[in-house]
Parts: sequence; structure tokens; C-alpha cells
Amino acid sequence: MEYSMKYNFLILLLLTLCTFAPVAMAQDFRTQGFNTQGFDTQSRYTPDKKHVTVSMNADTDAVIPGQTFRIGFMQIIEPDWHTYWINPGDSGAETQIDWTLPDGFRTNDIQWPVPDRIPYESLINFGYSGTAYFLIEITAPEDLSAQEVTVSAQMNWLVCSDICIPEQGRYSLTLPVADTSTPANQFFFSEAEAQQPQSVDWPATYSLDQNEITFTITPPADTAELFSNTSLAIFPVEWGLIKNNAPQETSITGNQIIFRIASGDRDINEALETPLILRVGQDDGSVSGYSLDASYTPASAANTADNQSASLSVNGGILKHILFALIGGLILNLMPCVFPVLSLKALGLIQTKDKTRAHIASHGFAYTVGILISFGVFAATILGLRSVGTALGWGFQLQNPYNILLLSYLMFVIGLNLSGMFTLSGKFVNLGSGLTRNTTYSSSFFTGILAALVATPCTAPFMAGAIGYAMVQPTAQAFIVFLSVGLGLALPYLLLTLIPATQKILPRPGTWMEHFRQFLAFPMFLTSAWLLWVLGKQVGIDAVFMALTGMVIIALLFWMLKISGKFFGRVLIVILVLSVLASLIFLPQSAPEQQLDTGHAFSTDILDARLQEDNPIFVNMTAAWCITCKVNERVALDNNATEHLFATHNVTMLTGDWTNENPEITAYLKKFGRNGVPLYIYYGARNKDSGLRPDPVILPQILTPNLLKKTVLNTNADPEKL
Amino acid sequence: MRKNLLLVLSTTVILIIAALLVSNLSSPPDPLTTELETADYPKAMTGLNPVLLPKADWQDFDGHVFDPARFKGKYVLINFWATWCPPCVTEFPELVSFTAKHHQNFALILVSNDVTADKAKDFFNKQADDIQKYMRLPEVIQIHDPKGAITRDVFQTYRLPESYLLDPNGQMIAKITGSVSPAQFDYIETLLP
Repeated sequence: MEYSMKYNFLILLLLTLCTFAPVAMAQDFRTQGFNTQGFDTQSRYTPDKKHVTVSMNADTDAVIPGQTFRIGFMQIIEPDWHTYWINPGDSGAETQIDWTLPDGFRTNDIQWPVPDRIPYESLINFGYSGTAYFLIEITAPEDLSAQEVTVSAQMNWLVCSDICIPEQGRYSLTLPVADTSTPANQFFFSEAEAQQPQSVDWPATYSLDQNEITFTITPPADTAELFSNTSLAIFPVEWGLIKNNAPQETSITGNQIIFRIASGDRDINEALETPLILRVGQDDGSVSGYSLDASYTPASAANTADNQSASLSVNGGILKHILFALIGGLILNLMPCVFPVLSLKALGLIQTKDKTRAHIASHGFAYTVGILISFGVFAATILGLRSVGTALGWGFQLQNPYNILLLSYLMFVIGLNLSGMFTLSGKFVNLGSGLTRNTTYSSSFFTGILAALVATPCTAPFMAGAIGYAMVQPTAQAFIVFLSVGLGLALPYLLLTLIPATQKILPRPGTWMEHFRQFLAFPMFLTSAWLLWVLGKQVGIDAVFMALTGMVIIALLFWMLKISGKFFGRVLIVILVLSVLASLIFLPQSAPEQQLDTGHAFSTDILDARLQEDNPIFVNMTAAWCITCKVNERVALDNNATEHLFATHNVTMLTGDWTNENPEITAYLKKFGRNGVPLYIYYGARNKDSGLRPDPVILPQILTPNLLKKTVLNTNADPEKL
Repeated sequence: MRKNLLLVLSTTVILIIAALLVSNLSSPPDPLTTELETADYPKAMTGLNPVLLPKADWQDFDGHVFDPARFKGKYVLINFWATWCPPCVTEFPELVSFTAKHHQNFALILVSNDVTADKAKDFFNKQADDIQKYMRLPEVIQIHDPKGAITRDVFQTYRLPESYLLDPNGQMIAKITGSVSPAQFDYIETLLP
């Protein structure tokens, strides 16, 4: 027990340090941005008379530094004319606002009033008639020296009756800057609020059965009935989920409101979640609305066999992904960070005195349980955050420089220990011998946790696809996939302990074991070095220097521990904790310029622009911490054959760097059912006859020059020449 | 055992914190779909003193240049439209069918004001099979005018749909604001030989 307890303490120490990371995380990585794409603003034409009259008001009589206030726009729309919601339905175009604000001011997205269904012949559009209010929150900066501020906006809207006219106007307001303010335009804003949907967190899901999409909304207990004598309609923000002009068959069953609607023409995988508006029209003509988030849930296992097979085939089946997850977990064992841990466990097996089968098997189980619990915690974290709407990807743990730094310290400390830097009998345990001597089951359990922890920087082939799949599954299935990765990771050691015959392949014990153990320090140092490189990519060279200094101090303190007495040892541990903590707090944040060696930087806008052209496009989604990506780049992308191939076929390569969190890239990955890098997508050239591009091709996660060649040549194939 | 419990707890904590540190996602709004400007003309079919079609840079969705002179000898309807315009969208198949019926003597030039070609192409693909077949007739031409260089700059058209009727000499003889009505189709039919 002595060894395991001490070595537990070591891990505990590092883990506890991690909990202090948020102290230093005051900075928000999010960037606040408002989409400023506008209409052609070089107005050469002045309309005689608009069909929409717009007025702009603020809900305050003064701007307070650091405070948020609201701007409201009122559109008075001529009778029989309409403007459009964010998802305009079958046709139409949403109203847009393009801000001109003083420095430091930030705006939020438009808060749309509850839309209505607007028929035009066979079409149904989503939008507004009569009077519509649009609200926008604006936040003033803390340091505001001006006496007054002017906020101005260009509003562009499409207004249609039996013809359509894009109209526009420029509006501005000047408000004094003060320490206090009183509400203004209260009638205007109360009218505006009355049109706003009420934001609620009612569970809402949708599932697809052949050509019908079913939305299930669960309002709080005993309230569903309140909707029974109203006219209900839903408006998904994502286009193409529903057939806009299809009737919405509504039923209230128990406590659920259910809509059955013919499905739209969009691939459901492109819209696995959507905000939606539930519009409630009363008999007296009054309208209210609720805004909620709905997510796609495949027809549940409780449904008919037909449904089951349909949902299985949609994503290639959960069994396939469980298998892939297992294989991925197995391959994880070979990663430089995990391999030493497994090797040490295997060495321990050689040395174990008590060779009874039950004893050895129990170690195998303890190790497996440790890994599975860790992966369970991982899954719970990711899925829990998914349920509250935060989208994460596998690898998210590496998008944070503090985690990178701590992992690199952890690898370094394990390396130090393996190389014999601290083998003291005092406060700290010799991790290597603790692992190999295999004294207690709990030590095996914690080795499992350690293995899972050191595996976190790695993504093995097969794993990404499986985890991407897991992310879009209901919680239970997702959990199974995550646990399968863990099981794969645990499997080699588990098999060694369960099947005595396999132990015969292990070599005999001897002095070589000590050398081997020392050798295993080097993969750990290598992993640590790689993590430092990632850290450098994320937050710059200053942080790397600080991290390296931190390592020197850690090494120094361990050395001092080795030669010091018991009391002094405790003091040193405190210093060690404080210095690691300090390195977190003072981690420099000078983000380096993102340098991409090959191709152009990916952005949704650039991709859209390139897609409008005719040439093929290769999208390469990568990250500094993704070893598979780096290997692919070396082997398949950065070589003469591929460069020549791309050049001769005019292939543009767009490279997306996911080293740091990037919502555009996460959204793009999600579009392809993925949740991590690498992801390679090939868009073939536009066909000259049809004017269309072939469907994008998802390439495997392991690239070869040959594979690229095949992809480019096949999808470029000109039908006339075949 | 207490330490073990602590360990499990702290593992949980680190993972949750790591996750929380990752920021929320927000998908950027769709790019703009319109690029026209405002106008207010009376809506009608207006006869024009015959005037030659002004010069313009007619290009299809693949950038191929088109010369309207190709339709000399036929009546031609130039229709300005966009997928974001509901009346245009409903009128589209009617115009194509009408053209297919009279393609010996009548041709159709559809000028799309969609900013992105993909929007229009998605729309084409959603048309009924017979409409898609008619769209492949040489008398049906798809022009892409993403910047309004033809629609606004040359034809001063600020509202959609709007159409111009050309006689067999290539001269503009009428302008139709809004969708082509049944009466207007009938009128065009009386002109055809």
C-alpha cells in the first residue's frame, strides 16, 4: 500500500494543480463579431417611396460605460407587403443590419420577433406583415472618454408582395455618456418585447422517418394542455429541415406537443440541431411565441425494427463505430505517451511473485476499471456540455494552453521518475517501481487512470470517426462508444492477465528491465517536448521558455527533495506546488501569428467563394497537437508528387488550423459528422455540362499520395472522355 | 480510500474545467442573398417604342459569354429574377413551359440576380423533371448577374420580377413589371406566327 499511496499523491498533486487553472483563465477566448457583410452600399438610386418605414430607438437616455443597452428598429410594412425572418422559408431574404459603432462597442445578433407563415401561391415564406420590431443589444466599453456616442446602422431588407424590392436605409442615434441613465421609449420597447418569443429550455427533439420529420416539444408538467385550443406552428432556424409549404400536423399527447411535417431537402446531418420558434396563435388573434433549442435524435431503439435498421444504416451502424472505437483504443497503446505505461505494467507482470491466476486477473480488471472510469468521466463531461449547448470536439482538451502545459509537466515528471531522477524512500514514490512491483490492486487501478490521462493528447486512427459519430448520438450510445475506446486501451494488458498463455510471450526478468524502464523515460520526454511545441504554437515562444524554466525548477526541487530531510521535504513540496501554480498564472498569452505552410487559410467565406468557382478544392483540417495530421502532411501532402498533382489539376488547398478553438472549423467538422481532426474533404471540379460539382468526398484519416491521386483523378473525370 | 475518492473527484474536476474553458460556438449568419437597390415604378406591361437591346456582358453560370443576337428571328423574353424573390420563383416554371411550347418562335433569357451561383443551381435541381428537360432547350438561356451589372446598371431594374419582350429584330417592344400574367402570355401568343 505504501507505494501506491505515495504515487497516488503524486498524481493527486498534479491534478489538484489543474483545478487552479481557471484562476488564470480570466481571459475569454471568444471573439465577439457581428457579420458585416452588407448589400451593395454604393447607392446610386434613391427610391421615391419605400414600402417599409423604419424607425430606430434606444431604451435608455444615456450610455453608461461598460453597460448594455438595447436598440430597437420598427419596420412599418405596407399592407400586403412582407419582410423576412432569419430563415425566410421557400424564398425571400432576411433583414440585415450592418453597424457602424464607435471603438470598443459590441453588438449581439438580432433578436427576431415571432415570425408568421406567409403564403405566396404554392410557397410558404417566413416573415412579417404590419409592424415588426427588431431588438439588438449593444455593450459600451468600460473606458469611454467621449461626451456622447453615435451608433449608426445600415438596414437592408427585402420587401415583397407580388414583386420584390430590396430596400435599405441608414439610421443613427446620438446618446450622451453618463454615470446613470433612465429608461426611454418605454412604450416602443414594451411593444417590441410583446413580439419577442420567450426563451425557454423545454426539451425539444426531432427525428426523421423516411419523408416525415417529427418534432417533439415537452413543456413543463401540466402545461401542454394550455396549447390545445391554439393554432400552433414551428419555425426552425435551420433551413431545409421541414418542407416549408407542407401542413404542420400538430397533436398534443400527454405532456408533449408533436409536429409531423414533411421533411425538407437538406441532409439531416447538416442540421443536427436548430433553434426554433414555437408560434402560438390564440382565437382572439393575439400571438405569442417560445424560442427553444431542438436537437436531432434518431428514431429510438424502442421503435419498430424498421426504424432501428434505418437509423443504424444512416451512420454506418453503432456496431461498426464501437469496433472502430475499440481498434482506436488499441492503437492508442502504441502512442509514445501511453506505451511506457503499458510496458511498465507488463514488466510488473513478469516480476509478480504471486502468479496465481486469480491474483493476476484481478490486476487486469483493476487496471481496466481505472481506464473505463476515466473515459466515463470524459464522456460525461463532453456529453454533459453537449446537453447544455456547448459544442466540444475531441481534442478540446488540447485547445487550452493550460492543459497543454500541465500535461507536458506530467509527462516530464513521469519521465524524470522513470529515468531514476527521484527514487527516494521519503515523500515521493518511485513511480516506475511502483508501477512494476504491482503491489496492490489499487495501484493497478491508478495506473489505469494514469494511462487514460496520458492518452488524452493522442487520437489514434479510427478513433476520430467513432467519436465524431458518438457526438451526434443519444447519450447512451455515445457513452458506449467512449467506453469502447477505453476498453480498447485496456485490452492488451487485460488479455495478458486473463489468458496465462499470453504471458509466455513476455521475456524473463533480469537487469535489462531496469535499463528498459530508464529507456522508457525518453518517449515521455519526447511527448513533453512535443506538447511544448504545441504550447509555442498556441501562445508563443515566451510561454515555452517559461514552461522550460518551470521544468528546470521541478527537476531542481525533486533533486533537493532527494537530498533533504523530512521537514524540509514538506516545504519543498509547497514550493513545487506554488511554482507550478505561478507558471500557470503568468503563462504569457502572446498568441503567435498563425503560419500555415501549405495552401490558404480556411474560412467559411473563402470556401464559399472558392466553391463558386470551378476548380477542385482540397480542405485540410489539422492542428499542431494532432500527430496523425502531421504524419499525413509529411507523407502525403508535402511531397513533390502531390504538389505536382494539385498544380496540374488546379486543386486549391484550404488549410484549417484547429490548434486553438475555432467555431467555424468546429461547425465545418460537424457538417461531416466529425468532431475532431484530421478531416480531409475533396470537392471535385464543376462539371461543365451540368454546371454542378460532384458531392464532396470525405477522405480517410490516413492519407497516401496514391489515395490522393485516385481521388483527384476519379472525381475530375470528364464524362465525355470516359 | 479517502485519497482514492479525492483522486476520482479531482479527475472529474480537471476534465470539467478543461471543457468549460472551451468557448461556446456560434455559427455565423448566412451570407447575403440580395444585392439590388430600391425602386418604385408603376406596375404594368408597358409598350415601348422599339429600341435596340443595349449592350451588356451576358454570361452564363460557367462564365461563358452569350450573344442575344443568336435569337434573331424569334421573339425573346428577358426575365430578371432571383431565388429570394417568391413571385419570380413561382413564375419560373411557367416561363420555361411557355418557351418549350413555342420554342420555334420564342426564346427565354433568364437573368439570375442571386449572389451565389449555388443557390440558383439548387433551385434548378429542385424543378420538376419536365421543367429540367425544357431548361436544356437551346431557347432557354440562364444568365448569372451576381453584381446587378445587367439588371441594375444596364436595364435600371430595381424590382423583381421584371421582363422585357424583344421582337424578332432584337428590339425591345414591351416591359412587364411583376410576374407575366395569363393575359400577358395570351398577348405574346397573338404576336407569334
